[in-house]
Amino acid sequence: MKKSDIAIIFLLSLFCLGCFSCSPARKLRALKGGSVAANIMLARENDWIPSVSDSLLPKSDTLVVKDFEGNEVTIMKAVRDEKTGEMVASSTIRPAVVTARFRNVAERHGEVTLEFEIRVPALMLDPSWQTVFCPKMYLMGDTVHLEKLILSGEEFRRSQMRGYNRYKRFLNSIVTDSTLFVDYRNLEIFLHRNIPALYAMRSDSTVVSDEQWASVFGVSEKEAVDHYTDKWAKSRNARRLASRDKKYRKWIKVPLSNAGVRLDTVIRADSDFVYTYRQDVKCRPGLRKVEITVGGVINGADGASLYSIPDCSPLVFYISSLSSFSDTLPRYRVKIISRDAATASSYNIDFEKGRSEVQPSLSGNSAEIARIKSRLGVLLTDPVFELDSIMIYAYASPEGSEEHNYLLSGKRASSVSAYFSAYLGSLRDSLRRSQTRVVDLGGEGAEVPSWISKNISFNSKPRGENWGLLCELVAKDSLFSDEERKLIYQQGFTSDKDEAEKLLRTKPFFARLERDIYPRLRTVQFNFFLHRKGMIKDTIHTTEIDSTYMEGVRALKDMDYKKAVSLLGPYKDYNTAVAHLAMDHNYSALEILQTLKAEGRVCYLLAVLYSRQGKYMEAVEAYLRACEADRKFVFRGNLDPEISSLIKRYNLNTNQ
Amino acid sequence: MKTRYLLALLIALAAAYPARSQQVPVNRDSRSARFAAGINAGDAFLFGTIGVNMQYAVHRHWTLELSGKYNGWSWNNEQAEKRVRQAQRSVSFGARWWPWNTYSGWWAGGRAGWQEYSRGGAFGQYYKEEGDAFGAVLSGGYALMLSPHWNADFGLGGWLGYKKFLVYEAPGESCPECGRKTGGGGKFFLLPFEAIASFSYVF
Repeated sequence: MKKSDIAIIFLLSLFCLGCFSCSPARKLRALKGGSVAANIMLARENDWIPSVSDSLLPKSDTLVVKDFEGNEVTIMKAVRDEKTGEMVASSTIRPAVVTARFRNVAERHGEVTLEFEIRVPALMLDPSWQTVFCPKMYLMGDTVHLEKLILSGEEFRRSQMRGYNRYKRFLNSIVTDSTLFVDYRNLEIFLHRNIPALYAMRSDSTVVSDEQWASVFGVSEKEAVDHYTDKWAKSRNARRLASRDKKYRKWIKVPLSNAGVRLDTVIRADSDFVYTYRQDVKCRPGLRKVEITVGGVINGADGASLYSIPDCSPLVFYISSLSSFSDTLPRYRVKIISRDAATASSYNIDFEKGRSEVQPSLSGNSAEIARIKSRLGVLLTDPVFELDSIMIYAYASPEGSEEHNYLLSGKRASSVSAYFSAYLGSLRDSLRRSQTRVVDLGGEGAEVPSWISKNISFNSKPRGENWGLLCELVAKDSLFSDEERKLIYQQGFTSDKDEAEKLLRTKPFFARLERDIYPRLRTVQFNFFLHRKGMIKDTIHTTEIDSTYMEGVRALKDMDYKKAVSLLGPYKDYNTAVAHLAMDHNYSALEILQTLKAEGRVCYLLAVLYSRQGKYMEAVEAYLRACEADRKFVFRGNLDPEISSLIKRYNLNTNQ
Repeated sequence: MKTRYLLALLIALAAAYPARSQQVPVNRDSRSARFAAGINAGDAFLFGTIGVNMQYAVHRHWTLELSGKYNGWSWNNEQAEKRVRQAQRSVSFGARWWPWNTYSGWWAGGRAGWQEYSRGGAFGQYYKEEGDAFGAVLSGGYALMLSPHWNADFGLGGWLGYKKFLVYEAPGESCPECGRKTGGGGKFFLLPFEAIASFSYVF
């Protein structure tokens, strides 16, 4: 054998080996054998400080701050010397490999952003496969399926598109316009020959006829259309239409979809693939932990599932929220209760022209009287208030002299007063009688209404002509023109009402005025004066839970910060500051926090705020003060990115 | 028994036309085309025979048909032995059935016909035959609507009948002017009658 032959055989075997080692079947065996899962890792940490531009970030790792006694203290990045055991300044940052499976993430604006990397080994990628990753999120007992990641091989995508093209051609072969099945040429000739009357109408759009036409032998247009319709093509089309879903399933084994898909891309299978997945999560009250895991499936070109990628071990995100700073202690407000109260109602009691007697039989009066009686009934049986007196004002319409109308309205007021006084009297008598019967029958404990024994005084006052209401009603009546309205308003303001009325009588609209408006001016107004039962003092000051404030606190706890700010805004207290801080209203929060007593939680919030504003010296000072006041902030500082970035940068909390 | 058969016949007839009484009254257009006349180009290929036909629609599916053919010509008259003749005079009357509607689409027809003929010299025929033929012509074809008034008809027809004829010897050296009578009689026949490629005007 020649040397060259040996070389060729060697090269060929290398080629075959190469082919075999890359074959999908071999990859699949390797995947199944090793139960390979996708690897997810925490994304590279990005110190997020809201509202701070890069230029505001500290340039050095060393700060000079004042301690609690006012002494200046230098804070710098330090490491423990291995030999001496002392802490020494360090300006180098060693590269670190993140191996942790958990991370603290801060909730801001009611949301948290979770970032993780999905690492896909080359073994899971093949030109003829589609690899689908389905991240899942577990929070508070719920499972949320996140958007998928779809990685398609080149061959797979080509085959997918071939299927789509076949289906597209199939869809294009479906005729949507059913008129295309009609042979119009022959139909027209047929109609021209056999139903010429109908054919003549075809080109004349002015003729609209409901007549039905047929040939001399009774062939109708419908029959002709039916005959010249290609029924075979039509039924073939209908069959195609009906088989759309079947064809779709046949040719499109793995559909392209945008819904619920984060990424759908064609990828070369020669190296590992890393995707940084970023997911915003709306926080819920009580949300402390979110777990993420990723599973998936590998599909072949025929849509068959080749390998089910098992779920990987979860990444855990611990959520820290500013809402946990809310102060849930109840807040009270002072309420002033007055003894006396008054309520007024207007009623339309109609009187005969020039008369003052209350006549229930007049149109509408019975309904109005029933309304007044019902109102009286409600007030007399009110559990809180007791009726003391009733003032009745009566009005008249403008016809006749003003003086006469004034007297007439006085008489009407007295008449109404007498009518309802008599009504209450009779009511009282009948109740007394029934009460007596109850007592006679041994009804102990039956409470006697206080008003039965009490004299409710009725007072009445005349109010004369009701020009105010006249103007009001005319303004609402669209039948009056602007000029007419203007004229009536002017009359309402003149001092001589008799002259004004005379002038109105000369106008053409007076008839309408007299018919529609005047009857509505003869009103009676009832003013009821009451007092709170059992109360002697004029006012009482009492406290009650401030429900608005507490609703705001609840919104703050539930991370509904917008609502919290709107409800707590006017109070300008600690909780208001927390709500503002959560909404990134840093200046509003600062304004409030500076007025509060510098306790631990206030200092901590100030540290967060200063850190956001790039005032690192003040932030560190405030944080150290908070830790001094309450040790819990030492640990809390790691959870809030504004503080944890300070801790890392200045190596704070080394002596926890 | 007779009554029972009669009743069954009446029920069958009623079932055959159930919708007729329920139909909405319509205007029947009296101007529908009923008459057509045409000339058959297919006949002309047979030694210039002139073939004409006329039809009249009597029903949606039926037309009555009268057709005639004439050929009085002979060729190579200067040489008696080479003379070719397919002379005929024929008349036929019958009807056509149109499955869809008259003068449109497929059709089948039947006619009764008479033909007086004299033929010889063609198709290797070295004798001359004269006679009368009677029979039934059966044909079928397709009518293509070219325009509101013009149709093109394509079809084939054959006929079955009885003929009375005389056969003469073909003219030759011995008798240059006329053939000698060699036979005759009467017999039944089944022959192709026509190849239809006609143009007709529908009135």
